[in-house]
Amino acid sequence: MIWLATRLAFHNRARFIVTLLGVVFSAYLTLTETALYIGMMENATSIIRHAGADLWVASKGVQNFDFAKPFPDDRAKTLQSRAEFLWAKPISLSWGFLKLRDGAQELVEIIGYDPRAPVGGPWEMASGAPADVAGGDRMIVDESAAQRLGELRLGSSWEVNDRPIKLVGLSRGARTFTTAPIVFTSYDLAQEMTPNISRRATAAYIAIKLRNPKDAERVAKALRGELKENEILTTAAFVDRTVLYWTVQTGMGAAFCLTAILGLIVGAGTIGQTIYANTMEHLGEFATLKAMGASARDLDTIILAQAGIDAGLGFGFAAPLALLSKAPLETMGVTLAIGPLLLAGLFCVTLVSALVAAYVSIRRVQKLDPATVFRSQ
Amino acid sequence: MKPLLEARALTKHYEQGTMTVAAVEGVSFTVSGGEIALIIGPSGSGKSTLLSMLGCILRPTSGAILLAGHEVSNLPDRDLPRIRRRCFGFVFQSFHLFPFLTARENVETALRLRKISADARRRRSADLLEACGLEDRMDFYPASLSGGEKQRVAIARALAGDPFILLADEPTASLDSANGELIFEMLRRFAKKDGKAVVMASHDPSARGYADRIHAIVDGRMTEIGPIN
Ligand SMILES: Nc1ncnc2c1ncn2[C@@H]1O[C@H](COP(=O)(O)OP(=O)(O)OP(=O)(O)O)[C@@H](O)[C@H]1O
Ligand SMILES: [Mg+2]
Repeated sequence: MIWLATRLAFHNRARFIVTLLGVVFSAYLTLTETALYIGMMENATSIIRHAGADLWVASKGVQNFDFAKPFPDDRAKTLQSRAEFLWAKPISLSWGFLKLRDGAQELVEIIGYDPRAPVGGPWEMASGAPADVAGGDRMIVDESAAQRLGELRLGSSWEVNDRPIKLVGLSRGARTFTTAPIVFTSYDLAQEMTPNISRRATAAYIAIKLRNPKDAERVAKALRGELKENEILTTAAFVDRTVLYWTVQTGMGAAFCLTAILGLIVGAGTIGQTIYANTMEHLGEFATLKAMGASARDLDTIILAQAGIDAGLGFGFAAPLALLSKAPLETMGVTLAIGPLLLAGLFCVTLVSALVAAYVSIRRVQKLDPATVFRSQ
Repeated sequence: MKPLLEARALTKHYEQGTMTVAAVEGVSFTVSGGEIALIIGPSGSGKSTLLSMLGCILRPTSGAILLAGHEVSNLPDRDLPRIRRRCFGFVFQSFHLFPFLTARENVETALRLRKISADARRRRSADLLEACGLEDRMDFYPASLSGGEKQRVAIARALAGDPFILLADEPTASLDSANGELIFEMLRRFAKKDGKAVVMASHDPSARGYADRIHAIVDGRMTEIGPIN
C-alpha cells in the first residue's frame, strides 16, 4: 500500500513541491537551531570536558567555567601529595587585552596551566606542544581565533596586556561560550600578567586527576568536608552546571528551544495540511478502496506513508543543506554541531510529528462510509 | 444447488431528519454459481442500496445475508473488509477508477489488496485487460479513456481478485449498445465458464437477454421474480 501512497503523494505535483519546500525549510530551521545550541554548549564546556580532570575545585557558587572567582592556590600544594590523586594542578583564568596588528584590542581569555602536567592545558594541537609554553613569555592560541586575530604564525610576537609574548603553538577545539579567543600560557606567566591585589598567587580552579576515576563521587564528598570555602564538582556535574547556566540564566535555551519547536510545528503542520487536502480530494478513492475490501491497516498505511514520504524527503534535503552550511558558518565563528546522533534524533522527531499530523486524515478515512461508492459521484 | 448468496427479508431504512426512507423493504433473494441475476427497477427504487447490502458494504436495518450458507450480516465491522476482499468483485455505478493510476495499475490495486506477488499481478492485469480488448490502453490514465473503456477497466478490476460473486451496478450505463453487449458478454463468460455468480442492476433492455433470472424492484419491494426461460 506504500506504493499507492507514493502515487497519491506525487499525483498533485505542485502541491507536493510546495509541501516539500515547507518541510525542507522547517526541518533546516530545526536542525540548525539545535546544532547551533549544541555547538554553543560544546564550546562552553570544551575546556572542562577536555582538561583531563576528574574533579574540579572551584570557588563557592561557581556557575560556569568562564566566570570564576579566584582563590589562593596554596590548597593545590596540600592536595598534590594525596595518594589517590595522580595530579592536582591549579589553573588560572583571567581576561586580558591582546593587541592586533592594526592596533585594535581584542579581549582574550587567558588560561594558565602547568606545562609539565597533563591537566588543564590544550588537548589537541594543530602545531607545537602543550609543554612549549614553559619558561618564559610564550603562549598557545587556539587556531579558531585566526578569524578574530588575523594570521597566527608560529614564532610571531604579540602583546598581551602590554607585555610582548611569543606565539609557540596552535591548539585545536578550545573555545568558550563567550567566543573570546583562548590564550594558553604557563601558570606562572598568567600570574604575572594578571593585576592582583593580594600578593598571593590565585587559581580559578584546581583540576584533579584521580588514580581511579570511578572514585570521583566518593573523593568529591570527602573533599567537600575538608575544603569548606570551595565547591567540589565532578567533571560531569561541572558540565551540567555550565550548560544549565547558559541555557536557563541567560534565557538562551528558551530562545533556541522556541525556534526549534516552531520549526517542528511548521513542518508538521505543512505535512498535516497537505495530507488532509490530499485525503479530502480523494475521499471517493478511499471509499472505493474500503468497498474493495482494503483493511483499516491498509488505509492507515496509505496515509502514514504519505506523511513518511513528506517528512523523509524534506529531512533528506534539509540535512545535507545544514551540513553544507556548517563550513561557511564556521568561518564566521559559529559552531554547528551536527553529528549522526543529532541527525538520527531529529529525523525521528520530525517523522513522529508528521505521523501525528496525519492523524486527522486517518480519523476522516476511518469514519468514511464505503457505501457512498454505490451512489453517483 | 446451494445458493452462493442469499438475502432473507433484507430491509434498509434511512433516517432523513424526521422522515424515514424505506430504501429496501423485506427483500428475499438467492443467486447460485453459474447464474446471472438481473435487478431492474426505476430510479430510486433501491437497486444500489440492495447491492451494497449484498456486498457487505452497507449494514441492513434488518434481515440476513448468507454467503454459501453462512450468515455474514451479523459479523462485526472489522471482519467485513476481509469478506469483501475474498468473495466479491464490485463494478460501481460510476466507475470509481483511481484517477492517479493507469488502467493497469487500477486493476493491480485489487491484486495488491489481496497481497498477490508482483509477477502474478503483472500477468493477471495484462491478461484481464487484454480480455477486455484494452491491451493498447494499459498505460492510459482514466482521464484519457472513453466511457466504455473506463467501464471495461472497472470490470477488469472487479474480476482481478477472482471473486465468487460479481456485483455490478449499471455496468453499461452511458455505453452504446455495441459496447454494452461486449460488457454483458464478459459477465456471461465469467458466470458460465467459472461457475461464479453475477448480480447486476441495469436499466439496459439488452441486459435481459443475458440474465438467467430477473427481479423487479419498486419502492424497495421486490414485486416480481421471473425466470426468463
Ligand atoms: N444515504 C442515504 N440517505 C438517505 N436516503 C438514501 C441514502 N441512500 C439512498 N437513499 C434513498 O434510498 C432510495 C433508494 O436509493 P438507491 O440509490 O438504492 O436507488 P437506485 O435504485 O439505485 O436508483 P438509480 O437507478 O437512480 O441508481 C432513494 O429514494 C434514495 O433517495
Ligand atoms: Mg443506483
